[in-house]
Amino acid sequence: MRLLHVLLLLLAAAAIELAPRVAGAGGDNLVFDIRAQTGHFEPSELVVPANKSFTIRVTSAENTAVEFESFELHRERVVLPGETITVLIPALAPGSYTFFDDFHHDTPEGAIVAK
Amino acid sequence: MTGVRRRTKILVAVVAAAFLAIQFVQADRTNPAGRGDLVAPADVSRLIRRACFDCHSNETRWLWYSHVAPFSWVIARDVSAARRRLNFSDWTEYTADPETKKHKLQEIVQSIAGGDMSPWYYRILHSGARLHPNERELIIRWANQEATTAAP
Repeated sequence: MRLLHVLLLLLAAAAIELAPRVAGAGGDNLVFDIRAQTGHFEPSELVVPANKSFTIRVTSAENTAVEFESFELHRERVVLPGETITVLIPALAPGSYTFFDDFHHDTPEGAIVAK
Repeated sequence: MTGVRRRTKILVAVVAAAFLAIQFVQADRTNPAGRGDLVAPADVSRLIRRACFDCHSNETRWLWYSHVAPFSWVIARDVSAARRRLNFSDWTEYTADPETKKHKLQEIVQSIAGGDMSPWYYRILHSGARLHPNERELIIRWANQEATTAAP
């Protein structure tokens, strides 16, 4: 009987711990990842839900700094080699929003597509 | 001699006709609505408006020569490029991401301190864009202070 109580307590604690993360994954705190590596962005096209704010984690796997920039989104951030930064993006109207590496213009542009 | 005069007249006529013809190719000189103006102390705001707003805002004063091709094409292209890089009429868009705001402020400091802004060729025709050293210092001090508070 005592073992059952312990198990129930452990389950309750796990539920309390996991609840916020599950809620976040449901759409209140959307997070997407973009990686700059070997001269391109991965993914090059990121599909996000329209009319919902979200966060992009940008990681540079390059040997030099990259500048994650988007004129349409009004964002400009330097990412040092090996670093991951978070970029806050407000709710977007449906459409395509390009981004590029302003330090390496030969890197193909990427796009965030809000649907 | 008559042949030279005739050829000169033809050349002048061709150039004049070409000049008139290109006037029909108009540049995009719009001032769209902004998404949220720069917020700064009055003295700083006044300086930035005077020196920067013609290119870096949606409140461009399109002077008479900006309606004459080919100058209109060059001016419209420069304004468009400047707005994409930094648009004070969309300032609140940058502030929604504090690190972007900080980055823009640092770029303002670099451009003003380095004398890159406003460009020399622009200052020739626009005396208002010329900043005295104390005016530069005022903008730099404000931008540095804002950058410090924008993001830790």
